[in-house]
Amino acid sequence: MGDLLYQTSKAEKFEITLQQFEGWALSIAQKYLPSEATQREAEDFLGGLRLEDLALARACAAGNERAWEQFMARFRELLYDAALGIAKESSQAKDLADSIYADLYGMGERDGQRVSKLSSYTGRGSLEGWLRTVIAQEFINRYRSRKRLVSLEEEEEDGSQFAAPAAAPLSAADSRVDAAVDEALIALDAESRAILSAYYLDGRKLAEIGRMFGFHEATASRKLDRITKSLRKSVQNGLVKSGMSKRQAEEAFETDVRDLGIDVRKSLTQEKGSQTF
Amino acid sequence: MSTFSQPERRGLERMQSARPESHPDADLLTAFVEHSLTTREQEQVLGHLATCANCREVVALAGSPLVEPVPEPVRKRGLWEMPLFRWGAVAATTVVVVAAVSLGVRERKTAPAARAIMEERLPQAAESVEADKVASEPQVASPKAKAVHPTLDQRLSSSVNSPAKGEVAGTRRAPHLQEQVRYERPQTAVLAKAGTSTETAAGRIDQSGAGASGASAGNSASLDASKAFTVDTRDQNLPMIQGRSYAQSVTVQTVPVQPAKDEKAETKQAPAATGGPSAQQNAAGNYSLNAYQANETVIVTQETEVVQMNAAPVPQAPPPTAAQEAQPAKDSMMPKKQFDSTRMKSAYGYLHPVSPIKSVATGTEWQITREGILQRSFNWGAHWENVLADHIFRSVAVVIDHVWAGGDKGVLYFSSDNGRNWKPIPVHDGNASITGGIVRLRFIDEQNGSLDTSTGETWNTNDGGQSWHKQQ
Repeated sequence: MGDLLYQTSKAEKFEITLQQFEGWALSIAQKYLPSEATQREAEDFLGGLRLEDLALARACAAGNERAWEQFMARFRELLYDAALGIAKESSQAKDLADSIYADLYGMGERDGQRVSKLSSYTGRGSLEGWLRTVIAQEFINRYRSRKRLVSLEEEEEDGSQFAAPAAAPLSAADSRVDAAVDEALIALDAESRAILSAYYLDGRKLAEIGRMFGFHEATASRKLDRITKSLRKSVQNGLVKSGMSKRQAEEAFETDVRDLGIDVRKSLTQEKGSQTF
Repeated sequence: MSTFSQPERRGLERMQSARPESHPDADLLTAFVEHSLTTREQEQVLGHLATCANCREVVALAGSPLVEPVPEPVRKRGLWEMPLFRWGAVAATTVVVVAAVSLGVRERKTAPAARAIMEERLPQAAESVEADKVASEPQVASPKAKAVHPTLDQRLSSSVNSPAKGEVAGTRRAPHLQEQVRYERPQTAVLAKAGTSTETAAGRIDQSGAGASGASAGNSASLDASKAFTVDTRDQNLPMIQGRSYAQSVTVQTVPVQPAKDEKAETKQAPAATGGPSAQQNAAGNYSLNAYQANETVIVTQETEVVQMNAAPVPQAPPPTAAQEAQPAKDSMMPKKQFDSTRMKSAYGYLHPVSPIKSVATGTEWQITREGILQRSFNWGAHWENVLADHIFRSVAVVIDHVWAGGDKGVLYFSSDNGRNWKPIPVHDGNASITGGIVRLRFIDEQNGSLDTSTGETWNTNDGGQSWHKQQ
């Protein structure tokens, strides 16, 4: 099996020995396969790896010049194009691509040895896709760190310096609603929860959701509709089980004290304060 | 779509992890995007994505250019599944049948009765009735009458030795083709029946199977899937490679434009979505050339799925006759100046961006930009990636997953794995080395091919390009 994988990977042209390659394959299998995996499962797993990309990436991480030539020929433009597609702005994209390239080349050192990000590539996906994922991760990290470093001027402009103190907690809405919602969400499958989060929390469009999860935009729309209906029904059933009537369960979604933004207790207290004669 | 209430939204927000314990690494996220995870891993990643906005963001950013558009599942509802249509059809059929029966009965009852009355009262009128009856019967079509919708055979036969509509007298025809010709709109190629030929504005399609030396005539058999298409082009003197004639291959050649000093070239690059010329198989299993783009040469061989694309014409293209220059094709879609013989000669070596060609076997599209950048697409032109961007290329040939790319300074690269890995190939034969740039590559299979240079050299290979010898 090792010989076959080694030949398939064409690692020899990058001066990678069979022993080296087998060592990488073993570590990758140990990382991803459960301990109880069978020999057949292990063979299938290793056979499904992107072996040529793996050999190229690891050879680059080892500093093989020929590997770098090939890597640059294949991915130099891709790095910039991917960064531009993610950052949407050329100077930002160039910075991003240069930063990634430095990480890939191994500008950093650990224990006196050059550390290249390419050494972490395991061949589970294509090298091209992996590079795009790495670029996306770097972009998000940069954006998040930049958000934390907000200038005082920006804060003033946003009005945060003079923001009103947080309002006192409103009257507790029926906690049965929250419990029923939590229970219904947990009962959903992982994909449904991910789709709901992507659509309602992240504001993703249906086409984006389709691309993320691997189906057409129209399918995303149908799935979303089905999931929301199913969730609503589960929550209402949960509320009915907790003692609410069906009408009450329906009304729980229509109005929620927290949504009204009204402090009823405070309002009643103010009215009570007026003296009558 | 159903509404999503605030309590439900808050529930989702509560579900999000402020600080997830661990995130899937880049490999897992990439494999998720490319749908190469196991079921167990897929569930784990989805479970994490449901609670981690950052990883959802990564997947969204990383996934868009990689994932091919997922085709919308066709959900067509047949007409017969609709009850209204079903019953409506039944009702309509019933009405028609009843009406037909009624009319038939009435006619049988009325006609003899009427005739009897008339014969009784007006003998002369009866004779006229007979005369009218005869006159009302359908006349035998005169020999000159033409069918409203002639069959393909009829249309082909009607154009024998006479210019069809749009064809200009004096248009040059391939001397080895004796069959009928017919002009088609340049963007539409027609599957010609065996033994016949069909001429397009770009050339003529002939499925003779008999090579350039001649074609069988009058064979009305259906197209033979085992025989290659031959499209005659303006290039009459197709060079031979290893003794094999190019009648076995399909060449659609257009004349490139040499811009005048005071005008810009009218080269156009086909939109990537059209895919350019490609060999597609119809229901009969025969290949058809569905479209072509200007300023390119595409060679498709049915047996081995050879696709080649060049930016320049064959240097041996003969000049048009004086009659042709005087009367260029009226209905040609190409600009008039493309028929200028002077420009044809001087057009050799003028390089144009070439439209995408597609390897049907691998589904990969290849193109060369105006700047000479070789590009590859795996998703029907939605995304192009540069290949070997450090070199200027002018020609590319593909045989299934074997790719040869040639360009300036005699650079030649070869890939045996659909462009994943490349190796440079020096073009020399010990006595001489290539001079000039490579402007044309042709491979009829994985082993046999030739290239032409800007200096007029031709080099041949019979081992897939590993070694070359100069044609004397």
